[in-house]
Amino acid sequence: MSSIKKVDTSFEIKSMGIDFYVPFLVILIAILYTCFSPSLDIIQYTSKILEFVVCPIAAWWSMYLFLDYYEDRASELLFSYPVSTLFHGIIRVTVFFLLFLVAFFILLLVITFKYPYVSLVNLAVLYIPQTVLYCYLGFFLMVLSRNITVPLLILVAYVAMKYWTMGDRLFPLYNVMSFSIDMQLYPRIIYLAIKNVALALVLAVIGHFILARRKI
Amino acid sequence: MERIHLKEVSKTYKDKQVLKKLTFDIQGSFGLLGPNGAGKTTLMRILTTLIPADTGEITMNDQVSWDDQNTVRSYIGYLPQHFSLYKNMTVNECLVHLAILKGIKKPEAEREIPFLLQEVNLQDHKKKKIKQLSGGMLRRLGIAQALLGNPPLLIVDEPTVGLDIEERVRFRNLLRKIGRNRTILISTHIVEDVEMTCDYIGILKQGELIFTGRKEELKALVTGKIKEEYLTLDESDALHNRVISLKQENDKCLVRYFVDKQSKEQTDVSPTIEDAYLFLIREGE
Repeated sequence: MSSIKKVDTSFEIKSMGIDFYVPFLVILIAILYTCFSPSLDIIQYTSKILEFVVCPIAAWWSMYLFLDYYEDRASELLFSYPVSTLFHGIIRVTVFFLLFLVAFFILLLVITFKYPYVSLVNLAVLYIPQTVLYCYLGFFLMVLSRNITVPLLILVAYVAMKYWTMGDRLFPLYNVMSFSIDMQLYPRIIYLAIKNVALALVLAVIGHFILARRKI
Repeated sequence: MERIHLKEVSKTYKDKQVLKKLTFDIQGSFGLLGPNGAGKTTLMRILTTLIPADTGEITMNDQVSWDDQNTVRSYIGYLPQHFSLYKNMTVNECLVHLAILKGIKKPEAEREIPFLLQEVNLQDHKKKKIKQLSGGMLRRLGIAQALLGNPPLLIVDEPTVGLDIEERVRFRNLLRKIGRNRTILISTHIVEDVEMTCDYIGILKQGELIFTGRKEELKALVTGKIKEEYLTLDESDALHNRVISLKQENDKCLVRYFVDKQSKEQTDVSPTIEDAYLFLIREGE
């Protein structure tokens, strides 16, 4: 049986319990905010919500998928099964990321309905690379720290610092966010999107090797 | 039954050699004994492919090599010392999921699981969530998952740690039963576990295998080297580390201890695995 066929999404969802619904809840709140915000000027706030709340939540499932592995120490058992490291890591994370993308895409569609001058392509290039990066950053931090608190704290601290400094040199760490206020595409934003995707791939590969080398 | 052959298997962590050129065979129901830090868990992890050995080779029936990790994993059922996962799921759901991970198709798993649950006496708890199971039930569920797919080699690490006496006895009987038609390796520091469940024994001490053979061969090592008599506490203290066990009876103690030579008037004391184990572990100290 190939690794993909062994992915049991409904089991993983049930196993996560109520925590599974957190990203959906965040996206739902963002949709409601977009739909019921009174003024058209609100677009910059919607952009902030996307960059500082919705995109980072893409890391949620990437971390939660390993809760049993590390908090319950199930890794010792699960890695003794005839399943590849790719399955334990990147495949499961990517399947759940695709699920996230479906919900995220609905949010982007709602935004295009609300602001007709914003194209769906613009939104996709602006925000999807950020979600990809957060997803594999969550995976990388989780397999590195083998503990859910550390990656959660790192992500929250990073997003909070970026929010307060707005990409300023006061917090001179790589900017995942575009800090866009009009949701339009500019060369710097396309460049940022490429950098985010490239960084996500690097983190996914490093995370995979950590997982392969340090099973327990 | 399968025979696992280890040839000069070594493992070093940083500067400490944890396993030193181990060469022996695992067959039948095999108990691996040793004090904490002897290298048992490292060996278990090498055998379950969780970590690689630095040097040496491991083969099953001279055919399957441990270099082919995926094949080896499909031959192994493993119960680690700490078994707890998927707490929100029911026993049945957990086993179906684990069966799929082992490569068993769902309909096949659904046919196999009721038999396994019956074997480990959990058939009435299949709808219980894992977080609701007692320690003993959890261990039995651990055995059920290890038996999924009927693997020819079962590896069990510290099987009875944390169980109460009743569960301990029940679990040992279960291990005895399932060890009848497959090779089973039990790693423990509890001598009683091995005494009740295994035919073959290996003893690890500081990464070296100091004994391997049948249970009777191990006992034979200390035949005539044990004495049992009533002594005062002071007298027993004077024996230092020769004491095996001590039972307080009124103002005297029934002391079981090692002697260099058996005296003529001494009554026969039949040796146990624990006697032999202590004898070997203390040798050279």
